[in-house]
Amino acid sequence: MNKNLQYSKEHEKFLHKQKKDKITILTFQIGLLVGFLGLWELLGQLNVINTFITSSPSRIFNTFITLLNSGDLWYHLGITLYETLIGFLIATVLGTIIAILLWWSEKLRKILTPYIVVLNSLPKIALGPLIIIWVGAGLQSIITICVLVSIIITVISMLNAFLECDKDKVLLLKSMGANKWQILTKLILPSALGQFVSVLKINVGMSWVGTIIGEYLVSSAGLGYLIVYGSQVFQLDLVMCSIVLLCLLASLMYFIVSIIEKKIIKTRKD
Amino acid sequence: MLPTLMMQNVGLNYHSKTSETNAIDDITFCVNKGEFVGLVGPSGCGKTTLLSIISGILAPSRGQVLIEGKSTKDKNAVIGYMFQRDLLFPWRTIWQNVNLGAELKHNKNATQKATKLLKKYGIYDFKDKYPHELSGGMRQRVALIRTLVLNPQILLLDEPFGALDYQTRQNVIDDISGIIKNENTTSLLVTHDITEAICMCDKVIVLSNRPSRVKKVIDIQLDKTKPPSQRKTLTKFFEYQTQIWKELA
Repeated sequence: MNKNLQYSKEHEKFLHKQKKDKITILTFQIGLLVGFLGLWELLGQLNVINTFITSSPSRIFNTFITLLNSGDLWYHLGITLYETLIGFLIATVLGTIIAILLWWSEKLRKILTPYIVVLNSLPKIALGPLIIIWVGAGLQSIITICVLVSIIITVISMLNAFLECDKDKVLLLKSMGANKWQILTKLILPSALGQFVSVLKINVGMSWVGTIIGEYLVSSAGLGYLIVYGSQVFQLDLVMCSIVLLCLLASLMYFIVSIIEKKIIKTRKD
Repeated sequence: MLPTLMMQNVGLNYHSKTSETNAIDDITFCVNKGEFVGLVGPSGCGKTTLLSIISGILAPSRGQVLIEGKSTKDKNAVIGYMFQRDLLFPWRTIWQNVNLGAELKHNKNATQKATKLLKKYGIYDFKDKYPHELSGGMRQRVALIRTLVLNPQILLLDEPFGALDYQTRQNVIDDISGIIKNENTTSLLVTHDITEAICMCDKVIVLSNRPSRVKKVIDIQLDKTKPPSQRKTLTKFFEYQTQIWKELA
């Protein structure tokens, strides 16, 4: 922007108000968090609440330091992150490939539609015990559950995006003599990129759900394991600490996807 | 010399679960090389369907479509298709949009032609911009160049000005017909706007209601040195207009 540009009084007022609003919102956002944590800590210190059951910010922090010093932190964090990322990648890539196949063949799509609908409405956690028996207790069954939780929704949203592609643009390519593969690569896939990014965002959440469910059912390590273990031995500090870590990790992953989204959207305006 | 486009007794039936509709009954006409022909008719008479048949996207139930003497069944014909909306791909730059056809056909000559046309029609400076950065008229010009790059034997225009506002429309009509005339491209224009058809075309074909047939072919002899937007003040224009109205009534 040109720095020498003189704004009118009215415009300056407008800009000032915008800035003020932004500061107000940020202040309240931070204030809410600090206030909540402070009140929680204070009530704990004053013995108004039983920190054995509710834990408290300082106890959570101490647990965090203990985990960090013993090296357990990176071990559990690493395992959960590994399961989630692998599950996320498999679900996204495989789901998109399946959606492409269903787009390619109308017959196949019609045949499989009822199965997809049923699978979508089925609570995937119900399959947990079966998966443990079939795939074996361990990482592989957690990853399988993680994939199952997010793959169906990936297939459905990507297929919808493919089918909603502008029919006239398809006609245009056909009139230029494009074959089906060219229609897919030149038009269908690029025009579904926006939807793909939203699927990534949804799958970030979904794959965390899948991994934690998986770890609840069968695991000997990971944040989900720490939560279950902590609750069984009544170490609620450990439970809370793991939840906070989960929160941070999931936000971080979401944040990374948002950056990717911004990069893509920049050059795409219709 | 063979006509560029020859429609011989072309007919089409639509099939649905409950019925079979005779949409296009029997259409015969031809478009000669370098001609600009307009196709008008009551709404729902299958004008756009005819373009789909000519471009080979839809197979007719009867009759045959010959482009420079060869049946469109063989899919060898090079056809340009221009739609109501410019249909530029928002994720591609102007250059990449214009070269879409060249990319599909791996045609190096087309790329050279693209450079030539972009320079000739004043878009070369915008070649690295994205479509949303251009005005509606400019975008339609880019859409036309995209089809011309492949040297189409015939250019099909389906209401190409329908999406533009009145002011822009007059300018774009002159612009687009100027380019088409310059490049000597054989063209077939489908429109519901009779004024547009009379002003732009050498010949107007009037279709009947569904099931459609050719009702009348009218040769338009207006002063071709004037830009199309100014031809509607010529006295002969009104004669043609009355004649076509009568056919459609």
